[in-house]
Amino acid sequence: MIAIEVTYFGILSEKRGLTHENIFTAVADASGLFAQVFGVDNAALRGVVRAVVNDEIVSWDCVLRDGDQVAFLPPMSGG
Amino acid sequence: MNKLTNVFMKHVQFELSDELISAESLMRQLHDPRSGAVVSFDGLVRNHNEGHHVTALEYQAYPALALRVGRQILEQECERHGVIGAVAVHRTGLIEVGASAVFLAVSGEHRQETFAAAAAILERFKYELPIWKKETYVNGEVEWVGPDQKNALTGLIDETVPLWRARLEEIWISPGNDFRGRHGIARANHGVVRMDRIECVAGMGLRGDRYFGYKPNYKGQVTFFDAAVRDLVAEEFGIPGLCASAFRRNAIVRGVRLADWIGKRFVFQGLEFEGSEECKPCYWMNEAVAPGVEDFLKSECRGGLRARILSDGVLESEQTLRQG
Repeated sequence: MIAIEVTYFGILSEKRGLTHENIFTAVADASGLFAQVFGVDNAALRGVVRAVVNDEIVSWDCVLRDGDQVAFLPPMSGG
Repeated sequence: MNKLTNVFMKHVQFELSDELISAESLMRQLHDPRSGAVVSFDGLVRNHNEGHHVTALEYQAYPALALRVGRQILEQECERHGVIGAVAVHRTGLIEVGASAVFLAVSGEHRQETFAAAAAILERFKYELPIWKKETYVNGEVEWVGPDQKNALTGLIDETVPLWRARLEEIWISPGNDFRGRHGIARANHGVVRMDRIECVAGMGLRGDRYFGYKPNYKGQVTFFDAAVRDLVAEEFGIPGLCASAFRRNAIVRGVRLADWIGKRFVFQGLEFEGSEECKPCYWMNEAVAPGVEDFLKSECRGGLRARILSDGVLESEQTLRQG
């Protein structure tokens, strides 16, 4: 098990009902964590959501390590 | 590209701010004797969006990433367009209508590349800066907004399902089937029940009705019938006071052309439906209403519209709405 600090932005924080949380998990990568948090029903959202690990945008197969800070970013709407 | 442009460092600065943007001090930073053009853009909070009256806007940012991405966009576009420098500030937090949400100024030697760089930077800001917009409407509702009016969650264009501006005069259900499977024998008499409100269950039907959960993806989860057709039949066949329940359809509506909605989605009283097919009259209509009615109902979707229920909720008849 590893401890991950997860932050949610925009509509994803609303969907999760939280802006951040600490999760103990056995998942291997960012994709697994997203599925654990948002459920298989929302797996398709991985096509538009971006995963960030330690302030770097990463691909979904990015391996997670104990203490990583992960964020999930919905489609951006600045400007 | 002019050689001078390459010799000097490009001045690039990107900031996030939760305070009012001072355009003047930003512009001063771009002062450069090589500059022949400064293009600036001030993005303001409008009081309306997509037909909603907006009272305030809130931007949420991922600061560490936004600062890096913002600076990167400025650097890359200055390089690509060969301009001298660019400064930009994006607001975070709550912003009042009329205030600047984003300010950008680009300095270049000539107007063409300077305009082009500014336009490119703004486009990239919209799609690449990890910043999210939340709108507060005049009715107090708050909503996350997606990129360029697209869905905030999927980033895709929201399909807008048209609204039925119709009145629901009556709701009828029947716990059992009077005609189906009774060819050659008399109709059954399960009776019909008039409801003030009815629960619609997506994919299933009207709770309590004979077709509830009848079969998967059933085309006739609910049937709509035009009250005007009832009036017409009453007149044509000389049956004053003809009750709409005689047609054994569910929702008696007025003010919508049912024939227009076959194969189309629509929203009625906040619930979503999909018209599946014309509700073809059968010979039982001649017995249930009057001889000749079956033929009379055969044109213009007069027999009604069968529909699938796409969202859960309650339909209320006009009478209930008035009382409520």
